[in-house]
Amino acid sequence: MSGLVRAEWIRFRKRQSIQIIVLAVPLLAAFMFLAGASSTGPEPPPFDAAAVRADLIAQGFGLGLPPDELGTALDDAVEAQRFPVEQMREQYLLRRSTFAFPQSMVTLLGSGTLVLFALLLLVATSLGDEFGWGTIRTTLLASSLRGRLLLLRLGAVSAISIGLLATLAVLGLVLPVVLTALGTRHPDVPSLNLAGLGVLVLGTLEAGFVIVAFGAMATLLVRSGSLTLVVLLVYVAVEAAILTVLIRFDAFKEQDGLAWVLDAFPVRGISRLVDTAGRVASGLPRFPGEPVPTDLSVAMVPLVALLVWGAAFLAIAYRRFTRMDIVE
Amino acid sequence: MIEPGAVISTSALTKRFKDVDAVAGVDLRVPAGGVYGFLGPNGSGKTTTIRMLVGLMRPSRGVAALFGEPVQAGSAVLDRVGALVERPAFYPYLSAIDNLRLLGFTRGMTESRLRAAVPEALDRVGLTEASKRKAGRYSTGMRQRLGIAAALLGRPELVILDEPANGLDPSGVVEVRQLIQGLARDGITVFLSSHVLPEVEQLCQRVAVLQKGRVIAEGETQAMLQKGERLQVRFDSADEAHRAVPILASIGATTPAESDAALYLDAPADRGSEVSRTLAGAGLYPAELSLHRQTLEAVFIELTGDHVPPAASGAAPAAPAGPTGAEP
Repeated sequence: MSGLVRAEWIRFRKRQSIQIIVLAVPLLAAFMFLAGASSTGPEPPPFDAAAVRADLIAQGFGLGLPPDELGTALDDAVEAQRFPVEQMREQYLLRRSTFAFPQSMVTLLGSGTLVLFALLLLVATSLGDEFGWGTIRTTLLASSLRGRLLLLRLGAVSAISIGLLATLAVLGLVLPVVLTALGTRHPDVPSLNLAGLGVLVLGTLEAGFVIVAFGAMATLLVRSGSLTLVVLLVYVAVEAAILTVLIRFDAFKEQDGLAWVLDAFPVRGISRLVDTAGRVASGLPRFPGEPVPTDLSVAMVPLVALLVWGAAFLAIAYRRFTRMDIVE
Repeated sequence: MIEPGAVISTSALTKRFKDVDAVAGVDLRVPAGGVYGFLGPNGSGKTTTIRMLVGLMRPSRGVAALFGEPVQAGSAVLDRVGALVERPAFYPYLSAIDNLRLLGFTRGMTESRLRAAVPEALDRVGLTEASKRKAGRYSTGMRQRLGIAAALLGRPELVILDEPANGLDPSGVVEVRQLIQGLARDGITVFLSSHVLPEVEQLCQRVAVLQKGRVIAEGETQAMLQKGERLQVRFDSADEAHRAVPILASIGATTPAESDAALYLDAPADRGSEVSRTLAGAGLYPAELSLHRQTLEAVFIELTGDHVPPAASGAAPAAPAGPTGAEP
């Protein structure tokens, strides 16, 4: 087994396309994080009632009103402006909170779509090129342990995915410091919901497992890495079409009915799982005034369904690889 | 039926692609030691047979066995085999050394063993100087040599070479011939599929000829060539040759030779004096009496030229249409 691991290491360590994919993920994630943080603009000043009052008076507000009525009218007018300004400020602070530590870790882990796409590329290229180059034949001539070779390859890709997620977590630690060094003031943020963070990490890993298994299955079925990407696009469109049809039925709209079935589909399940767990983990509401979400039960259906999907895809890939004729 | 003493044995080996039998009930028995030739025109099923022998393809029917053990994906017996199947394929971004190390590790070889085996294999095929160059920059001939080196890695007991001289220059062909002779001298059994019939004639002790997925001839090379031996009787004029035809009928059938003044007589060399006596008795004196020996090429063309195997699928190999050697 150690020989197969060493062989895999030789394959991967000098492979430029893999190096590029592995480097691109943290770089892109960091760029998107910093660009997102800078796009929030300057911090709106706190609501200044005296300044608003003076501004209103300067604009001729309540001209001609008796002094006792003018005071009340000005108070009402000032208060009327307080709510939108304070809400805008709260919204701003909420947005900025996602870039402050430790919420920054959730934000970066939430950009796991990038990791998932990278994983699909890794599987598609590392397996697909074996067919394109014909090296699948050379490899299987050297060892006929097909099942072991496949699992090792998928294990290598999974190890890379864990490495990428760890890198994103480290970036979540480092980038807020970079922002502070650049003069950004972070708002006070609540502590993370550890249960939510756990589900987020678990869900992202599980999503990675599904993507790796799907990529392997598709690549082995079509014997091409590039076609695998087409297969994924087709699959996403088909799933969207099925969901669009299902959602027209009342039974699939009711939470007590069959709504959970929709979350059992892979793409929607991944999205639902990461979104729910991410919001719970961050301890932040989506908008000011919304209660902080703590309910992780919605994530349970995707968690279980994704495990089943991943196992099914992997089983098909395994069976296909161990039985397929190598004509390359 | 699997023959325990044979290095390779197949029984009714069949591979069906949709509605075509690429290999149709092949029975082979390759004894240990020496070089065994596997001949056949393009599309006759040679490579498909080889792919089944090395576990790259699953037979539709029948059995392929190596060293008495049936071949399946994961069979330990495949570790005793080195093979070059069709065009060799390597990781283009890796050097020859890394490609061979990778294959060695995949085969289960240790680092210390590879340290000696890789340079030795590269040296054996004349690639030592180019060993650090990326395989993607290799010429066709160099890739072919590297493929042979890969097949020899780990000192297998059986080496299967599918068109090893493909893409090689004349000196390369000679080197490969010497290499194969060396392997045979070392006690390694070589199963050689080749279109270069003069090479096969020189190298192989036994040959099998495949056509349309069936073995149409099998036996010792020399016996096969002797079957095609005949006497050539040349006269001074075409008239004398014409007059000799009925006289020689008592010894054997005659066929016209390339020249009008010459005849081929289906008779072995030891009947030469009888031919002279018979002709002298009739007042005819041949200008030359010589033994005409067929080349393997001629035997091959004669066998495969207009031979149509019976239509029944999966039946035992058809009876040879031309000369065949002794049964094993």
